Amino acid sequence: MFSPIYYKEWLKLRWAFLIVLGFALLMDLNIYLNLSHDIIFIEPKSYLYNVIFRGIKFYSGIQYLPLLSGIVLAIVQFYPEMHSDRLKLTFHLPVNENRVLLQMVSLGAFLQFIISLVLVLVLMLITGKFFPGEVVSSVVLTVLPWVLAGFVGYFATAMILIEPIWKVRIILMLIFYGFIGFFYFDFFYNTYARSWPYFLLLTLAHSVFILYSGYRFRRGVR
Amino acid sequence: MEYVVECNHLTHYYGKKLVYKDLNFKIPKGSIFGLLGKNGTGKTTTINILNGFLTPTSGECLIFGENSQNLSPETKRRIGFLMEGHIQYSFMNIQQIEKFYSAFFPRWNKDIYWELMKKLEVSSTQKISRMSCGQRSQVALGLILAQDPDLLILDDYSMGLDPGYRRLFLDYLTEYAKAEEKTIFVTSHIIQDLEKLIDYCVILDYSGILLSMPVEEFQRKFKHFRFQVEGNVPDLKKDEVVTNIEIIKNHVSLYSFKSAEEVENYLKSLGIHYSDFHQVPMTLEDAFIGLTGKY
Repeated sequence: MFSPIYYKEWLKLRWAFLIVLGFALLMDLNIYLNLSHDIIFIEPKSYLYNVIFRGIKFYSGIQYLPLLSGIVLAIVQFYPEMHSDRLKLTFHLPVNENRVLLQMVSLGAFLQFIISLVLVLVLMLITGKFFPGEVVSSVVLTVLPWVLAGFVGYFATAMILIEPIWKVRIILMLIFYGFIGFFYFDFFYNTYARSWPYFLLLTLAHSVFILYSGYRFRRGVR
Repeated sequence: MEYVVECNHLTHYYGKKLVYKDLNFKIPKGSIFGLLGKNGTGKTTTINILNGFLTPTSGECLIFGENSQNLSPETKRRIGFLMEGHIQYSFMNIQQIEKFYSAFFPRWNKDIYWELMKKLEVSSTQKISRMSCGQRSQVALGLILAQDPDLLILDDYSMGLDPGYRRLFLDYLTEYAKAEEKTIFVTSHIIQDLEKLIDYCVILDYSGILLSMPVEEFQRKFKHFRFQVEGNVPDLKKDEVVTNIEIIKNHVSLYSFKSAEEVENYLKSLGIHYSDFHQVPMTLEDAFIGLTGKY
């Protein structure tokens, strides 16, 4: 059965989702226009040389976009729950409390996935229009950790917002700020070509962290 | 007798601050139970423990026989919960919120909800966040009544409501209570409204539990005597006869669970000269203030 929790979460998230999705498409459009301009005014072979051998990332403008998107979605979704302790209403629903939280983050993560997918697919199309297939796969491997950082940002922000104590929130913010830095070691393209599966596993592990904050909230930690 | 709620030896501290110690009460099926007390005496703490939002320092609460710390979805489905301040999902409109909640409750009665919404004269697409406090209270009430719960837990339903909305709220509650086998647990700091509603009360004070008994018994046994003293004003202290006392100049208001005769004998035994000794009739609110004091 389609859970009514998804309906509630969608009502909260729909506008933020559409705005962030629109912004992601605008960023892709910006990359396309810049690339078209540069390829006209710079000799194509020379531009390709810059991309391949000098590691020029024509798409670096979207580096922090998935992270920003994840944080925005989590704030829009979980701030109303914490305002006036509305999470109590959610926990009072006749559903297991952990299941409710997991359903909530699954919808937010799904919307983050759609935004990331559209962002990357359009970027692949743009890249494929100007460059050979090898460059397209290199672009995907390079943006993948940024996309994963977006999910970590979403899960971490949700966990921090649900956490009842400000002191713990600040400690969690510092920990996640440091952790997310690991997704941005981009000295060159394809930096994460071999390690991305581990980062993917770490990202997935973050999806259940919210259960700990939810447990603390339910036990009345204040 | 079947009990819907049982709180046994409940003690709670916030840090080192004691809220109450060894609170015990049982709510029989079909009764209306009032937990009364001034602000900060532990009413919301008790509601939070009952709903599993707070782990007590010691003791336990059982709802429909289940420990409130681990209520199953089936038991939660039987409980209607009104949060203090009539908090609801304010990002929804009244149509969306009805659609959302109705999916969880098999006995959902949408007629009662829409009956209340009609009184509000608002559009069905009006967001709850744009409603007045009184209107929001009706939305919250409509939602919990539409659930058709076996137990209603109301945390200070009167907060922020003007007399009209309070009366409307009470009228619907009374109707709900008349239905078979329904139980209500209500906290409030506006006592006057509850006089005709509740049939059992626990009164909390900053020092803990002051009283736990049927309302009718409390109103029958607890008395207010007024008299004037002649000469020096006596230094009367609270004891087994004097539950509370107020002295303004030479006018004394004495509250006691003893009879008029016993109080007069007590005054005489202390050598107090008095006149115009008489009992003053009290409402439940008068009795509450007489017991807990004005401060």
